[in-house]
Amino acid sequence: MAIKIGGIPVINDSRQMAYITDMDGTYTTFHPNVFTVSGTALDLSQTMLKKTISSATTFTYLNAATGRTAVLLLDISTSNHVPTFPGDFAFQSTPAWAGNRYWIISLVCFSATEIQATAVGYNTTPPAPALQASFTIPGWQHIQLHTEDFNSAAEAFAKVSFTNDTANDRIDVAYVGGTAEAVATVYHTYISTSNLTSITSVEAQYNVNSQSGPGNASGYAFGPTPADDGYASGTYYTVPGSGGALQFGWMARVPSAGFAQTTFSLNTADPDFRIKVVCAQGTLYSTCEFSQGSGSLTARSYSGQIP
Amino acid sequence: MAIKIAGTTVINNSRAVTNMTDIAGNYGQFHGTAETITTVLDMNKPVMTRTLTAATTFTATNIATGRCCLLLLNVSASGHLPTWPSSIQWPGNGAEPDWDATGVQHWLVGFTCWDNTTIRATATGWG
Repeated sequence: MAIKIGGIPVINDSRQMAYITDMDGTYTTFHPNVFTVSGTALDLSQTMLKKTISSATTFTYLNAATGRTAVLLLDISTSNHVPTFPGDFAFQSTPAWAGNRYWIISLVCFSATEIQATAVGYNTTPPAPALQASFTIPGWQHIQLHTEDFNSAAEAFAKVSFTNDTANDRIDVAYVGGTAEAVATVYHTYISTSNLTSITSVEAQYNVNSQSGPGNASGYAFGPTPADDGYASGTYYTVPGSGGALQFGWMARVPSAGFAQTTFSLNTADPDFRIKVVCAQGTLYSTCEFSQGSGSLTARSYSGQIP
Repeated sequence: MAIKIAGTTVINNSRAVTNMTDIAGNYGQFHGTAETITTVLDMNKPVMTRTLTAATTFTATNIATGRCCLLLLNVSASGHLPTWPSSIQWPGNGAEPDWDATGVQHWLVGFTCWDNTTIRATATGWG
């Protein structure tokens, strides 16, 4: 049985609440019904409107009243048919309808004849990422041990460097691990930037949970940790163009008899290495999770023969 | 005592309106309840809040045409990165906002369910 107030049904037999003059409280699961616009009239007494147009369409409206808000889900189809809204509708600037297929248009009635509108456009399918989402540095030899005898210098290192190779439209990620004992092979991973336009910045960061090296860094070409070179974990630094490189390097070195060790742990919630590119396509990231979390570089030299 | 229509409770003993098939009228002080979430974006929840303490991957549930929700997202001063489900699309060419942009920590993310599988989102950031 319906519930009535003063003879007016406020809850009918279909559990529909109607003729409510005011309602206070909070809500949880409470959603608008979606009203499909069959013609071209936008009924602003409805909260959520949906319309697909198959040709250029001129809309009208009804039931505007101060404070009413409505949302129009508008599909202008793959042909990008142009909608025309009533003169009482004011956009901050006319949306570029041809730029996107799907539009969410928010309507706020400032009065019965003034409707302020905002439109946000979406493509049917996001384009393929302009920058690959991730990259790898397979086989990076970030655990190195170098042992020498008769007071000879010993050195072990591992590093990852980044160069914006604009001539080839790519970011060159060079990675190497080795010792002073033999020439180390430098490996490369290339990240294409050929789909990017108007690049304004290319940056990279590394993320470590911890890192430490010998306190005396005398004679080091770099390191012992990137922090000693001025590169803090978790901070983005500019990737230079060809001829330069942003280098994150770890090293242990002894010039004569002695022992030095540098360690680092890549086990953080953030990617081990991350590239950030700002361009016309947006702010894009490419991340690297190295398979082995902890690295160590050890250099040891004996005054006599290696025991 | 609860009020029932044909045996179905429509206003329970906690004065909560429930099981309504439609409501028409005006409202005054009528607000969405804000709920703190972890990783599930529940399109049944009108207002969700989340503060990230690490990079976080979200999933989405209860997607249905016309549902709208807000997420008050704090990526913290560290700028932890959120990862969104593929059901969420961003304006224009689909590029995501710069979640860890310098000086931006608080994000108001709006979700509108276009249909039962796609959520179109907007985001505005503040410091």
